[in-house]
Amino acid sequence: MIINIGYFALLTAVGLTIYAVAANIIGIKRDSFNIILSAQYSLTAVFIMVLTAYLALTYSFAVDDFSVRLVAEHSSSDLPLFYKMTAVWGGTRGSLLLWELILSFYTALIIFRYKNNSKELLPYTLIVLSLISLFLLFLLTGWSNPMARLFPVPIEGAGLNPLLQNPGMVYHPPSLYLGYVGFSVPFAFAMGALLRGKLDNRWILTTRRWSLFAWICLTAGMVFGGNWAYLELGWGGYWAWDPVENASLIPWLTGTAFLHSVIVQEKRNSLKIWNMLLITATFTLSILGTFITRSGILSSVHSFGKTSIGPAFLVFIVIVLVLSNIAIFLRQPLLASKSPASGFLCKENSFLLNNIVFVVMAFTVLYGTLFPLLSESLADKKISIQAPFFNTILTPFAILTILLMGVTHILAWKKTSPGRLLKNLLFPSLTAAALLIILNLTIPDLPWQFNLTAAALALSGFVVTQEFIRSYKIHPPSKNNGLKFLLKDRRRRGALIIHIGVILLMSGVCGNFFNYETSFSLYPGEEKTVGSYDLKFMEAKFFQHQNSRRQGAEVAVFQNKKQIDVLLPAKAYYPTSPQPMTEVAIHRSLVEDLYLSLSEINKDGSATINVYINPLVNLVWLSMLFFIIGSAWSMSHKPTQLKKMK
Amino acid sequence: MAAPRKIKLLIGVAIIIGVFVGILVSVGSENFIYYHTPSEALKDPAKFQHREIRVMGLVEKGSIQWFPQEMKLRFRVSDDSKNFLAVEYQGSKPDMFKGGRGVVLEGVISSPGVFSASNLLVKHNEEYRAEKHSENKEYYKTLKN
Repeated sequence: MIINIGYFALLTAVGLTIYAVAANIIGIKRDSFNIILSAQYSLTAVFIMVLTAYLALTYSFAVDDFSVRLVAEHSSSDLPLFYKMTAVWGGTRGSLLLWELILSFYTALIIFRYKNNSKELLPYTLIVLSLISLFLLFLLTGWSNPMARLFPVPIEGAGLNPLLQNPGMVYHPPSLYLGYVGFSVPFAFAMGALLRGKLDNRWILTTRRWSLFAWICLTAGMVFGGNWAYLELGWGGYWAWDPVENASLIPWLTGTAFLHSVIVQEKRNSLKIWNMLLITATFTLSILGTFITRSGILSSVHSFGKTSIGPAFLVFIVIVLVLSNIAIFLRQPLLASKSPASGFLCKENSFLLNNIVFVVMAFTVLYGTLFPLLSESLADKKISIQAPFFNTILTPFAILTILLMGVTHILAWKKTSPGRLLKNLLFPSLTAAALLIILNLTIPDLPWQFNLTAAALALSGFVVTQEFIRSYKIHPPSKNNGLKFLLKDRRRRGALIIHIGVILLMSGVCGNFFNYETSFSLYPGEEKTVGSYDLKFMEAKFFQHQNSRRQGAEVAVFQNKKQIDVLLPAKAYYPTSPQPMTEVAIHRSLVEDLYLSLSEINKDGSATINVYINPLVNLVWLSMLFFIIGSAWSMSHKPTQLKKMK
Repeated sequence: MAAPRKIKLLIGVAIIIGVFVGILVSVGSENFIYYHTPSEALKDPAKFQHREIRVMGLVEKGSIQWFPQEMKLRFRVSDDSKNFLAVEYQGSKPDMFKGGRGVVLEGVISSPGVFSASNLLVKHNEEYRAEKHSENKEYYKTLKN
């Protein structure tokens, strides 16, 4: 019964959203504040309706109402309550509802935040947001209804894929969606500004923090996803250039470019058309990401099974692209750059180069992801593009990006003299050179890709850290201001913290150059040396863990003849899944992870174990902390120009 | 003002496209691996000898032999249940590897009719959820009658 309320709430939301679009248009035409206000109320009500629907669905999962198809397909009564609640977004339909929930929440939040200080722009923005929301609501009430019923009612559900029964799965999809959907806010403001025809920098300033929020959520979503893969899939890595991983990386790359290029518009009043194109691309690629993930057109770990929403998404993407490009084209005269000419060596140009590199990377990944699909459908040739393709192409660009990151911090706006630049780069370059020499003397035969990356990381790492310390010298603590010096210059310091995170992340990625993997079978009591570790298989063990039965191999880990750990890699058998799942066991340290996954306990009593040594991998997870702190720090700063604009 | 800006923009776009095409040409097609079927590989083994190829097929039920101490896996794959390609793989058995499963193999034909795989991937189930679902569906159906 509850579920019917949910469906009814969704239908109401459709009506309210249509009303909001109409009321905004009429309100703008007649210049009637009351009509516009009614549109805002109705959009706030849409959020309440969608939330009702979402809670109704969650309730059905919690009480095992298998008459709801989604519950029967993605849950079972033996599932822990926690995972029942998260199983809501275990399938396509539920995830679309989550998407719509986030979008309607953002819309309500925007109304609440900007109803007074962006009065003129807001109605246009809300039209764009409502249209996006309407598209999702049509899917949710029609083709992809999460509330669909099943008759006769099955006595038990099919269960949640055991792979999804991991805490990582709780954070990964929502943060990814917060990010994907988050980019629709700056997009809606950009399109709103185009519709309104008054193209000052307001939309950029208003949405700066939204863009950053979307970016950090997308980043977090990707890192959580990588972490989940690392713990749950048992192949020792966290990124495999899988189409669905790429689907999140592509908008991340253009979104990162956008975060940087808006600074140029803010400070120097240029790159206006570019920013419009970039946010349109980012939004469209976010939608494309969902399309790739949810339509099942590309085979991947993440395939959710073929659904009928594919064509609808494609049509939506085309409409968005056509309309937004027409709008940009028509408003082109208003988007003319006003900035005076600047020298060759300046921050603007380095930002521009950074943008070009990011966009080229995005299109390379897009090409590599979609080419197999095109090849199969157009030329009927099944093709596979593997990791080497992406690694070969992207490594030089990644190195360039890292270098640019450091250099940009040194460059000034408008013009920098080459002498000053060289002077500032002297110490960082010497540090990088010293590090390279030490590394190459201690470890023979380092690949050139590693050497270049390490040099770039050392150089930029030096610059970024130095700039971070310098920022505290500019605003030093004194008796009068107490701890207030910490709050100064938050935007720049936030950026520097994020950039330190980037250095850590890329150092962690560099660890992949030294990954080592092997596999072998051991009888109980037998020992094997891997790297600096001695592994001894003690015994096979059976045990119960939550709703799974597990068979594990107890392995004692020795280093320098001292026992440092006992690991228990296992196979987990879930009642709803005929396939056992791999449960890895990791001995962690900042230097490297010793990562064991059990292949199987053989009939002769021996255990076949896969061993991976992953150097520096924990830096990847650690970088996340810097990203979050840096973004929060930067976001806590309200753009000063916006304050003046009131 | 407008004209030089447009030129600048065009130059920018040209650079992006140029770099992009440049990369794709320079990286070339060596990273693009075409799939073949086991029957193709069996029909013309000379053509594929000593060349790394990618073969996609189903594992024949009952053909799997696993030697844990040598870490050697032997099985046969086929795409039509008539022609079987014998496969040798050095390494541990991947998760979900069993008879009837679709696999993707990378490697070379080492001796006539024998494929030495250096890489073995088990194709995931189409559905990103509990596997037994389809069986359960049958179960639901029987409940109905």
